[in-house]
Amino acid sequence: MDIVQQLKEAFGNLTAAKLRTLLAILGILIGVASVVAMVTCGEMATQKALDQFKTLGTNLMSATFYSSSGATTDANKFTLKDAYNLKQEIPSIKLLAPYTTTFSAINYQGKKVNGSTIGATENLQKILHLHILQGRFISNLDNYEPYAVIGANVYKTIQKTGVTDAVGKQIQVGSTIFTIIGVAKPWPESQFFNQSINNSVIVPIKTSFVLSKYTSINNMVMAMEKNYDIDKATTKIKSYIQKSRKGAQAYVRSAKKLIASMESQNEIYTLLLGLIGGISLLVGGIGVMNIMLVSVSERRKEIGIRMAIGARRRDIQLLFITEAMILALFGGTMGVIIGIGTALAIAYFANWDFHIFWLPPFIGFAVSAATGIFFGFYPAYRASQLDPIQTLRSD
Amino acid sequence: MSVIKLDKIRKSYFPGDMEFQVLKGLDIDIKEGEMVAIMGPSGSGKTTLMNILGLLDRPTDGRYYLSTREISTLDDDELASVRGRMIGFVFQSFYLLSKLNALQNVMLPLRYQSTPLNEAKERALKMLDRVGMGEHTTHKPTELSGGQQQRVAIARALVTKPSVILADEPTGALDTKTGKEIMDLFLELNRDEGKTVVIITHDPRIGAQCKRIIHIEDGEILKIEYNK
Ligand SMILES: Nc1ncnc2c1ncn2[C@@H]1O[C@H](COP(=O)(O)OP(=O)(O)OP(=O)(O)O)[C@@H](O)[C@H]1O
Ligand SMILES: [Mg+2]
Repeated sequence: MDIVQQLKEAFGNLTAAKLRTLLAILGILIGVASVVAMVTCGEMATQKALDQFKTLGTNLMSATFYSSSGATTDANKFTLKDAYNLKQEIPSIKLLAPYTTTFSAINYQGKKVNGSTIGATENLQKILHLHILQGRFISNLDNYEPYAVIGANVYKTIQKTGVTDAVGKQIQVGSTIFTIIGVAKPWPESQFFNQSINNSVIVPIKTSFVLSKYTSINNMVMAMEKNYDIDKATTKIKSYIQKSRKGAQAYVRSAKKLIASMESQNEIYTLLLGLIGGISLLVGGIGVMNIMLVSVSERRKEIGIRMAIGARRRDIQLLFITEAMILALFGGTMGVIIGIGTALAIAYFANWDFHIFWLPPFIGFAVSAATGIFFGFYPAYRASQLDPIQTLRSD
Repeated sequence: MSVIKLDKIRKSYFPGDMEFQVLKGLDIDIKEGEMVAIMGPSGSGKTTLMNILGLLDRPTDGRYYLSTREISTLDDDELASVRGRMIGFVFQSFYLLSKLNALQNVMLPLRYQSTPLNEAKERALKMLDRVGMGEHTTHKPTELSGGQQQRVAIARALVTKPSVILADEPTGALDTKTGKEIMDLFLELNRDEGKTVVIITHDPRIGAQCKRIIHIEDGEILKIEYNK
């Protein structure tokens, strides 16, 4: 029996029972759509989480210092000199930027500005890929100058006072007046850098020491050479800190490791979502089976007639399998389309970049075909095993 | 030459633990080109016999030679393909597929034999023409009268050029006039084309038109009657 006729006939039979066909398709459609949408969303979330590293690069490490005794004293304080020495000691560090953070009140013309103060060196700009909107960034030549570079949100607050060119304006941190020398462009938030650049006033690191006697270097970020050994670098940094400063400890993180753990976390997440979708696909498959079984029992007479005019058991089986396959593939195709559409809508509302990932639709499609065969097989087999005499006698 | 030869064919059903004999050892011989009527009261086993003749059912015991081939050795698939090629069924209530039109119904047996589509169509059209349905090829069964449906069903039975036409009360659902027309068609096929026809009927007038009547009662041959 040739395939075109077979398909034509299957289509004819399916369109003859419209409501039933629609329900079966709907079951598969919802299943496939949820698999595709959920897995795509999982992938997009992963992508979103990883995107923050795109601008920063993956050769990034950070270290946070703390003292095992709890108090930071002069004896265990990490200094600029230490930072310089550390860089000399460990050649795989390409760039190093120690920084301080201070939480003094910030005011602009008597108006309170939400934010914190970062004491930085010029390397911070290079490592974090900060872009400057106006003026310039901190330079190592600034030493103890009361200069400040403001983050994008701080700039927004200032703009509200009617100022567009912030450079040269004055901003108060604690009791010190700073002159704004630059405005940073909005910086994508990153889990990797603890401080929010956008809400910060960045001052020369030496100046930050003057702001408060409690100010100390408790963080640094590093850009590493290509193909650096993460574990080696981590141990080296830790041991250098312990060796050089009594009672000091370092907590070291690397972008690569962070990415890896994020990826594996998201993989589990995606897998779970896929599983939930899979369950609805299973339900859809059972729906197909149920509807096919009804169809078989309704068409007993037809089966008997076909057998009487020479249909073999496998011809009968093929007849019903074809119908199940069409249901599943049609539902699958619609499901892929609707699933991608749903993912698109979710991406829009969650503010994710929309990507089409080819794997989920492909899997959704393949699984729906498999569902059609699997759940269509039993009803088709049942049909093929019917006794022609019984079916012809039945009414 | 015998097209059909039955040797002590028995058929029993086993409802519960009891054996219920429907056919009790029938010996029947039907020659090529013959037109035979099978008559008997309701429940005497006529349809059961026809199902066995048409390879839809297997006898419980005895031998059945269809064109000298003993069929008990064939498996279900072989049975189906022999049935498709050598047997043409005509039923009392036509049994056309309601979703297919007349042409598609007549083509269906050929499709199960993997006949190329063009050839199948050509043969089906010719056969519809032969039974006087050339004008109604695209009609669905519901759009045809009973007599017309039976003509389509006869075309479907003939299209595979079978060795035997088996008709189970083919005029039972038709009025007298239409029934006579259908019977004339069978007679014509038998006379002009030498088709072997076995007709089950309750109607003595139909029986009278066949050369031989096999009377069955209670699963046994009561008598064989020859006309003309
Ligand atoms: N599956 C079955 N199980 C048990 N008994 C059956 C079965 N099929 C048929 N019979 C019995 O076999 C007997 C013969 O039935 P059959 O249909 O062959 O009669 P028939 O001669 O064709 O009758 P009618 O003229 O009414 O069509 C009946 O008594 C019937 O009840
Ligand atoms: Mg009967």
